[in-house]
Formats: sequence, structure tokens, C-alpha cells
Amino acid sequence: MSSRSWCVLVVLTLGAALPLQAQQTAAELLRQIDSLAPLVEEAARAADAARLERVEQRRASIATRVQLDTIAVRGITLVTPRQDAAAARALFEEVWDQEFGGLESRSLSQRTFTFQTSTYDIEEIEVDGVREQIVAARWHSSAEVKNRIRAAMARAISAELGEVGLGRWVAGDPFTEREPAEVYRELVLAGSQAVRRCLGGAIDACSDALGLGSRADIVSTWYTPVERRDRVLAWAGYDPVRGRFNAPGRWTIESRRAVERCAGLETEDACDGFIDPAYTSWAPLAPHIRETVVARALEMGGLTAWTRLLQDPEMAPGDALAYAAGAPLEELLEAWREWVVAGRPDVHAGLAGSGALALLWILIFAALASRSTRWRFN
Amino acid sequence: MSNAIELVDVGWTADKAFALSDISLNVPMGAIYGFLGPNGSGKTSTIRLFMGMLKPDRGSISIFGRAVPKDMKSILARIGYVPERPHVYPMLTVAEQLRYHASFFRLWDDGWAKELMGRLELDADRKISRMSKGETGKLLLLLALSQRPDLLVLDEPTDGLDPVVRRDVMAAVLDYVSETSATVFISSHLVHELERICDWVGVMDAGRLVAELPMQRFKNGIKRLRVDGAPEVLEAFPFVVLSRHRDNGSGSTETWIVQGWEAPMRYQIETLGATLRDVADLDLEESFVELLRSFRPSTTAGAD
Amino acid sequence: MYQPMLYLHWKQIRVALIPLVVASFGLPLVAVSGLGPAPGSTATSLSAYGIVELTRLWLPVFPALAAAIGATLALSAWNWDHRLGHVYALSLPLTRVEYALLKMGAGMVLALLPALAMWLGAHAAAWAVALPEGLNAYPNQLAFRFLLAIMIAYSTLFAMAAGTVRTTLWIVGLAAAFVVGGLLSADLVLTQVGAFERFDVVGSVMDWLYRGTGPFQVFTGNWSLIDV
Repeated sequence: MSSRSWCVLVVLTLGAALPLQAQQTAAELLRQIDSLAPLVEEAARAADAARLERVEQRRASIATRVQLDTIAVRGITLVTPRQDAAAARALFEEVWDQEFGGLESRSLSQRTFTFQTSTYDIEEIEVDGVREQIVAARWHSSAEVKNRIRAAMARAISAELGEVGLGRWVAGDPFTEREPAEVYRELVLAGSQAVRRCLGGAIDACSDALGLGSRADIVSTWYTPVERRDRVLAWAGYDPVRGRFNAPGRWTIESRRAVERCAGLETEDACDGFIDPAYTSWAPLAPHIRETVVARALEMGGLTAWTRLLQDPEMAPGDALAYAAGAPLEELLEAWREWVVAGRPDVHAGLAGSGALALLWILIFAALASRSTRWRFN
Repeated sequence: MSNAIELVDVGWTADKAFALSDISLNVPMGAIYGFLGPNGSGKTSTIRLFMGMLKPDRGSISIFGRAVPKDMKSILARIGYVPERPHVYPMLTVAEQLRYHASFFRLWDDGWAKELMGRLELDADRKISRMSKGETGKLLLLLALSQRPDLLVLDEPTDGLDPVVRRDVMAAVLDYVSETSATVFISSHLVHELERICDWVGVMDAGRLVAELPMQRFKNGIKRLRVDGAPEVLEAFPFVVLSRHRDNGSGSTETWIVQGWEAPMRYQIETLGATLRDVADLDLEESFVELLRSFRPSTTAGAD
Repeated sequence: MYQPMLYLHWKQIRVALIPLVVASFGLPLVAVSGLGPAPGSTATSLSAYGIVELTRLWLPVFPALAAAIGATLALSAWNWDHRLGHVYALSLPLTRVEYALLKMGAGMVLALLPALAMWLGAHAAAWAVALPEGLNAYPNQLAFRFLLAIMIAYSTLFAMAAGTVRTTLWIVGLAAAFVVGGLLSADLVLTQVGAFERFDVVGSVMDWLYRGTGPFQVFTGNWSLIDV
């Protein structure tokens, strides 16, 4: 948390405590907070200055040890220690060609990357404009390093998607690699009938669960009434057993009553008023799960997939994905589902190895125990 | 091989206050060897040394000609051991303890164990933790005898037992010895207990073995002499004067305690101009006390 | 020799072991209690997420119970020998190695009892809950892990207790000194020079002990009875 955030937090806390001390109106309270604003701004300025000074000192300290170069790899600006420059250039070019088909992207040219093969702490320097940092220490494999570069470049490129169409659908960067096992677990635990059906092989349900469909009754497709209730209660922080809210102060009497009606499932649609499918947080699968669909689309689409993906950011998500994948959406979703199901984790994986290791240790301890001496008396 | 137990110049130091020094001990095969000594003289430590429980600082130990502790496994298979304090598991019953013990000894005689159990009036189902000291003592002996040992090592086996149990225990030992040619090493500070049964005796005091000889020689070899007119300085005699003191109110009469006395030696005293008035036998306990007194220039402390 | 040794160990430990065996049987059942109706029932079940989260609350208890059983087995194995001064054991015609291994083997067999109880309890627990689609019960894996953890705890403490009191105190003392010294040096020195992350010796050793190839790795694995 930045110094500025701390100052604001302190002020807000003080502000929140004030009504307890005196019966003040909200307007009075706001006036008081406003009167503190210059103070807060001054404190924030001082904190920023101090931080910049520390950064400068750190930069100077590192500069005495490491000679940094700024190089251009095609359109990318790269800050790297001098001895790593050649490796950085080669790796970036290789990844660019093999993973992105040499895609021309203005996002790439607008960003600066840092690359280092050792822990010089240069990542701690805020080189102006740096958005992506790649550490490739000696214990990282080359595949791992390439993956980091790929992810960093993908993050930069994906900014071009903006906040419409697919960009809005994934609500963030679509290129974080996720383990299929992790995705499988989230799908099983999602608490959604649509997701369960999707796992069972119903591709239309996958489309619904991922929010790719355009059905009006999407909420009832996503959840059974009980599941809807569970979602709402979890969101509201309401404990149905105790009949209590975790933070009752957050709610008006009316909304509390609505939550209680939902908890009792007084009517079939008692919970529906809370769930707005336009917000991704109500969808059964979070944006980071959606990102894995994008990743599959890029995989299916080959070297030119990126180019197609960025071609029309305003395209509907389903269409954009199908276009990038170069295949119908159903085919893409089937591939995605297969990827997820194949990733079903063996939750007790490694138990046999643990057994062998334990046996080895037991033998070692037995050997140590057998060293028990017969010379017990002084 | 004529010795069941042989210790040669064995030394062992417990701490600054107590050590066993230069113990050379020989227990002949088939002997009943009484190991005498006051409490804290080093009897139990000596036993633990040859039982392979203590590591000697110097010297060598062998049992049945085998080196201790190198051949301990085969040695212990032939030893029946009754320790100073009960060492059995209190949560077991007598029968369970017998089964446990029997499993380690190839020569275990189950029939004899049962017979002995009857003779010693032990209840097979009785839990050891509920047994009296006497019953526990009998159980320990039962365990030691039923394994048919060639050597019985009994460390104060009757200590703290009532006379009836003591008699039963000693009787069982003697019966066993009479049936077999087993060697018995029995330590005690109760001299009269050993007087009747032992044919060899070793005497410990303050960590030293001060005497080791056949019981007969021990009993007959220490005499009390009453001598008149003995000179201040004595020349060398063929016997050892363990102590001498002037009798109260009897002029020049002195009492000598001597070791190795024989009747013809009277002449040697008379050549000094002294007169031997009386020669008296000492019983084993008196001999033991006098022997210890002669070896004690000052008070010693020790651990048993 | 082995059978009487096993019987002796059983007699020594049964008072403590029987409640632990019962606990081993009961723990999986307690962990799933309230998670929903039995199979075939029409009552509403908890969601998959709810079931996994609720059983997760009990996860630390399983390795803790295994450690407690291992410790009880190990300490009881040597307890009476220590109390009787090892005189009996040393007067028996077997080498110290044979004696220690016989004793250790006896404890290993006794460790099967709580593991078996856990296996039965875990199967009963798995049967007692109607699992939503996608969730599975792993009673065999749980019981096996439990057995391994008991055996590791047992053998570690058995080896320590097999030494003389002096040796044991040395080991415990050195371990304590290492942890305390390591923490102090990390706090006082390394943090000051800003190198805590790189030279966190205690952290690295603990990591190796519990996560790498160290002996206690089995304690930190997945103890789930119910999982995806």
C-alpha cells in the first residue's frame, strides 16, 4: 500500500470514528473530512518525495555494481545488464517469432521490459515506463524463461483488447498460464448446474457457464434455486444457521429483509433480484477461467491467432474466440473442456513416492536406533 | 579353561569419588564363589563389568574363555542373572514374563520352570506389579534357573527378603548346583549366608579385591593370637599380621589378627622372646571384619 | 523372540493406544458429520465447495493424531527399559542392534492398528455422505498416508529415545539451539543487512524437512478424505 493510501486510510478511519463521539450529521462529517484534505495531500507529497529519493538511492547503488543497457529488439525497448543483452535479444526474437508470428503491436513498442539473468535487484528500480519484468536466474530452465517472456509480451499485447468485447469478457489479461488441474478443481467446486453439465460433456452448458451465450434466462441456467441462494448468502455474508450477517451495518433494513427472504427461499425468485449477470462476479466461472479459453483459442489458431484476435476488439467474445481459433466456437469449447477434464488432478499424486521416501527414512532411523549403546551406566 | 570368570587387572572409574582398581578375579569352573564386601565396595560394579554392562577402562575380562564384551551374545546365553534390583516388566504376569524370557534362551526348560514355580509357590497369573519383594525375588531366580545356565550370577539375591524366602531361594540354588555342575557367583554383604555354601570367596573393599581364596583357607587361615612380651618392631614372619593391639589392663599382652597361620609358626614368635598364650579361630564374619579393618588405613567412600 | 516382544509392547501401550485407535476410527466420521445426507436420501446436500471447505477444517487434525500415535508408540517402547536401567535387556543373549530392531519392529506392527482403524473409519465416512458429482472419497489414500505418518513419527522418536538420556538431550538441545539461534540470527543480523530472504537457514531447513525430501514430507501432503 502506498503512502498516499495509508494517509487516506487513516483519515477515513478517523472520520468513521467521529460519529461515535458526537452526534454529527453526515454533512458535518464530510466538511470535517474536506478540511483535512490539504493535510492529506501534503502528507502524500512528502511520502512520494521520500519514496522517489529511496528509489534514486537504490538505483545509484545498483548502478555502481551493474552496467545497464537499453536496447531495441525490433520495436521493443529492453533494459538489461550489459552481459545479458545478447541473450535477451535472442530470446525475445525467438519467442516473438515462434509464439506471436512476429506480430506488430503498438502495445509492445509502448512498453519497456527489463531482463536479467541474475538477481541484481534491477527489478527494484523503477525504470521509467517499465511495465514488464523478466528474471531469468540460473535455476530457471530455458523453457521457463521463454514462457516468462511470452507471458510478459502477451500481457502487453492484450492491452490492445481494451474494455469492450473480449477484453471486457476476460476483465483482465487473458494470457496467464494456468494449470488444468487448478481449473478442473474450480469447475468442480463452482456450485453451478451449468458447470456440472459442462463437465459432463454438454458444450452448450459450457458456453452458458462461460457467459458466452446471450440467453435472457441465463441466471436460471447457471444456478438452481438452492445454488442461487448459496451465492447470494455468501455474497451478503449471511449465516443462515445463526440467522446473522457478518457485517450487518453494511445493509439497510430493507436489504437485510430481502436477504432473509432469499435465505428462506420464500419464493422461487427470492434470490434473483441480487444476481445481475452483467457483472462477471456473479457468473459461475471467474474471468481467470475464461482466460484459459482464450489460451486454447490461441493454441488452436496457430501463429496468426494473435493477429486475428486483435483484429476487431469490439467483436462479440464468442465470435472473437472462434475467429482467433480458426474453428467454430463449439469445437473450441469442446477442446477446452477436454483440456480441463484431462487435467483432473490426482489429488493424492506422489503418495507412492512419499511412501518410498518414508520407507527410506524409516530405514535410516532404524539404523540410527540400532546404534543404541549397551554402555548405559557410568 | 579352568576359570568360568576371569578378570585381569580390570580398572574402571565411576567418578572422582569411586573407582575399581586393578581387579584380578578368578572364578573356577564349577565353584560357588561368594563375593563379599560392604555396601558400596564395588560388588555390583564388578558384576556389571563382567556382564558386559560397564565398559572397563583397562584390563581384560573373559567368561568361559570368551572375551567380554565381544562374545557377549553367546556368553549371555549361558548366564542366569539375578540383578540387585528387580528388572522385570511390572505390567506382565508371571506366566507372561516366563514366556517372554523363555523366547530368548535356547536351553529354556519349561517343565522345570513349572516345577520350580510350584516349589517357590508362585502364581502364574499374578501380575508382577502386585507381587511382594519376596515373590519378585523368587521370580527372578526362577527365570535365571529355568534357562539352565552354566553360570549363575546372583547379585545380592536375598537382600531384603525374609528368612523363609531367603531359605527357599538358597535351597533352589543349591539344588540346581547339585544337579548340574554350574558355576555360581553370588555377591552379598551378609557373610554368614555365604559361609555354608561357598567354596571360594572374594572380598571387595573400596573398589579393590582385597582377598580371593578358597573358603576353607579363608575360614581357617585367619586367627586371633594373644602374645606376651612382643617387641615393638616385628621381623618378617611367614604369616601376615593383619592387626595388633595391646589388651586393656593386661600389661604386655597383645592381640594379633594374623592370616596364613599354621601351628608350627609358634616357634618363630618365641625366638623373639615373646610368649604365645592363646590361638583362637575366627568365624567368617569376624575374619571378614578383621580383614577389612586391616585394609582400611582411613575411611573410604564408594558405590556398589 | 519377536512375538513376545510384540506382546510386551502391546501390554505396555494398550491403555494409551486403545483410545488413540478409537480416535483414528472416529476422526473421519467426525470430519464428515453434518456434511449431508446418506446416499439415497432426498434431503438437500451441501455444495461440493461446502463439503470440501468443511472437511478441510479437519485436515490438520489427521497428521497431528498420527504424530501423537507415533510419539506414544515410540516413548512407550523404551519407557520401561529406561526405568529399569536397561539391565534386563542387557542381560538377554542378543546384540543391542537385534534388540533395538526387534523393539522397533514391534512398534511398527502396532502402528497398523490405528491405521486400520482409520481405514475403516474413512470407508464408513465415505459411505455415510452422498458426494456431489465431481467429488471423490479417498479412504485408502488417507489411511495409507496416516500409516506412513505414524511410522515416520514413531521411527524418528524411537531412534532418539534409543540413545542414552545424554544423547537425547544433546539432540534436542542442538535442535533447539539451531532453531533459536537461526531465528535470532535471522531477525537480528540478516534482517539488518537486508539478506533475510537469501539466508533464511531455519526456513530452508524446515522446508527441506517438511516439503522436500526430508523425513516429515508425508505430514504436509494432501490429507483430504474428500476432494475433486
